[in-house]
Amino acid sequence: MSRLLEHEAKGLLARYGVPAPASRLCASPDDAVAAAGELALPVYVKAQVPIGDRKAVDGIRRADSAEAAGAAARDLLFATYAGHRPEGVLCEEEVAGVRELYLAVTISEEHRCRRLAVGLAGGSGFDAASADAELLVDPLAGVAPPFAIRRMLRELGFTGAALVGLARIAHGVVRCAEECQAYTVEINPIVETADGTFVALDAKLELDDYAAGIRTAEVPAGSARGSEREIAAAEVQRTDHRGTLRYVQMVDEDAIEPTMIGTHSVGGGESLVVLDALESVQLVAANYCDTSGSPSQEKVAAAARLIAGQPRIGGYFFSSCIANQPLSITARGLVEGLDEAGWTGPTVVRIAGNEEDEARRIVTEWAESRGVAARVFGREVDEWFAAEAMASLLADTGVRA
Amino acid sequence: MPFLVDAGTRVAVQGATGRLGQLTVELLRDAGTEPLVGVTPGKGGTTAGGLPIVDTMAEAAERGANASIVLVPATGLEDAVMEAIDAGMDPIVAMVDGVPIGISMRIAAAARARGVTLIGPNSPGVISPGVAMLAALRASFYERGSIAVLSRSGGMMTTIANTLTTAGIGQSTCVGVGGDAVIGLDLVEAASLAEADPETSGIVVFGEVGTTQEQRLAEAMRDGRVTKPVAAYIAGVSARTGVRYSHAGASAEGAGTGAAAKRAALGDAGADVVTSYKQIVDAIRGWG
Repeated sequence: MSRLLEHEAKGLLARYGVPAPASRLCASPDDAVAAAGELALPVYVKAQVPIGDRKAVDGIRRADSAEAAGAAARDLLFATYAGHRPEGVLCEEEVAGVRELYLAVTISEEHRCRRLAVGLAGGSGFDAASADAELLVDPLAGVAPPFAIRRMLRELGFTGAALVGLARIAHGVVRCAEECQAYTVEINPIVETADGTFVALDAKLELDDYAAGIRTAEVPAGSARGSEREIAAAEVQRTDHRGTLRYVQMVDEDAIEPTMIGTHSVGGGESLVVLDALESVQLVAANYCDTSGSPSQEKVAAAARLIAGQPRIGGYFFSSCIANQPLSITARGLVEGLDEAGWTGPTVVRIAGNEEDEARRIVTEWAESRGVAARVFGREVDEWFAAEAMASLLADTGVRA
Repeated sequence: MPFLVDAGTRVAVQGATGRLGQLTVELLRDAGTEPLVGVTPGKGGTTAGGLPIVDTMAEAAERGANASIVLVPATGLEDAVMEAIDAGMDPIVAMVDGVPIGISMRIAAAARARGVTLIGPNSPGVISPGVAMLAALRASFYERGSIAVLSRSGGMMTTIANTLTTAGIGQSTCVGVGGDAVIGLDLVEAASLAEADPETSGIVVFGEVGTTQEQRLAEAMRDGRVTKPVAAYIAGVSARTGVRYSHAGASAEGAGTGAAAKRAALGDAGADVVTSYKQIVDAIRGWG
């Protein structure tokens, strides 16, 4: 799923009648100085990064003057937050509220529908599971009827203009989730002001990446987000539909150490099993990668290139579940990608399933002809055995004590 | 009788004429389940790999089909599943991944409204080894017996079943519930079916990070809704939160959705929680 930036989420929600404080998106400290000059002081300067709880990582500053806003923007724009460089800062007027609420539309996988949740005490650290009221939205109807939302809010104690105003906003949020095909639309907090209106101070919006074909609203295209290798893998997946390629950078490239392992799996469940197996022998996976669902040789090769190309990794660990996909194609892609990345380090390959004998032969011949220290297994061993073999190989080759 | 599929299951294959369809037909035959009919709009009256093709699910039903495996891509999935529901198929397996969650919610709701069991999306299907299959699985890894295998991963279901088969432990019914966040039949409902099945003596679960299924299964065990012995392996203890892994449902976000919390909940509820799936064999042998 793609997460929108705060300003993108607020822009989208504004189309559904959800008010936000007056703000300007700024690309430079000078922009922030100018923006603060136009807005009412004080302002908040907020790093535009797709992560939660920015307060906890010093991604939000309060500024009493234009100069202070510029200084805050300078700090924030050049900082990194969980691997993300801010895509601008949002300068936003402070809004005083009488209380903070929580309002969200999420997916209830238990009930297989969207869930509108309201909490009477929102703000940082609010646990969505502890919302005070919830309304399940019939997927065949699409949007909850306004009266049902009013009834829920009335039962929570809202009356008068606050009841009507918040119900209208909540209905807009449900419509937004449905029309934009969002996994999550979360406004935390939404503040109630002294005059009984409501303003969204923060907004989080996660889109279903698979839903482009059924989305009825226009959503921000969103720039590609993630590490360089995650973006490259997503691009391969976008352009080659044969099977799945999913890559996650588990350790920032700058922090990779020579004892860490590049991992490559066949199977969504298998790739999590591999993480467990490596951990059992105290090996750290630098990345996660799944190439399953009968991917092309080119796709597997692209994955192997990305994995083996990570700086300083000490070993390459490949493992498959008992897969239906023709594993000889997978094996050819694997060795092709390893060759292209110039990989000759310690390698463990465990191949189980369709065409496993041929696949093992391909990898064994590759390792022998390149002089690679490799162990090649089939389904006679499990992932934990293979992980131990990886640890031994690292010790044998002097990578690990 | 095993659950979900049995000797009375008459299979229609929606999307039988494509590459995946032809592989599935071959796998069904290998499993001893001869599919009755394939359904591809516009190709009615032809055959594919020896399988007669019709245009509509209504025609498939007229020919006696009562269960369907849907292989059509995500773009056509909603219409195909709705057609299967309308034609009275039960159960229905939705196999493809990459399905918009909005569609998954609608087909799950429609199936529920008609009392139909939907398995998936992103499910390999269901097999009762030696009896019947509604799936794209290689049946040779499975063997008839009394252990139900319920899995959020298709590949790991086969891997675990093969581990059991190799150890001489057969399976009653194995169902891949699907790796997505929103699915039809979930682990809890599948466990209830296993509980009610007289041929099933125990339940093996493969779970992973994300969703509340394992927590709700633990609750069902505590409530006495599931009383048969359960062995569970939950993958991804070192998977960090806030990341979506390959399965669309594999994202630990909220409280209790991490693997460690799920292992603890199931252990507290009385399940044999193992840290490697091969240990499931010892757990089952311990049941006597």
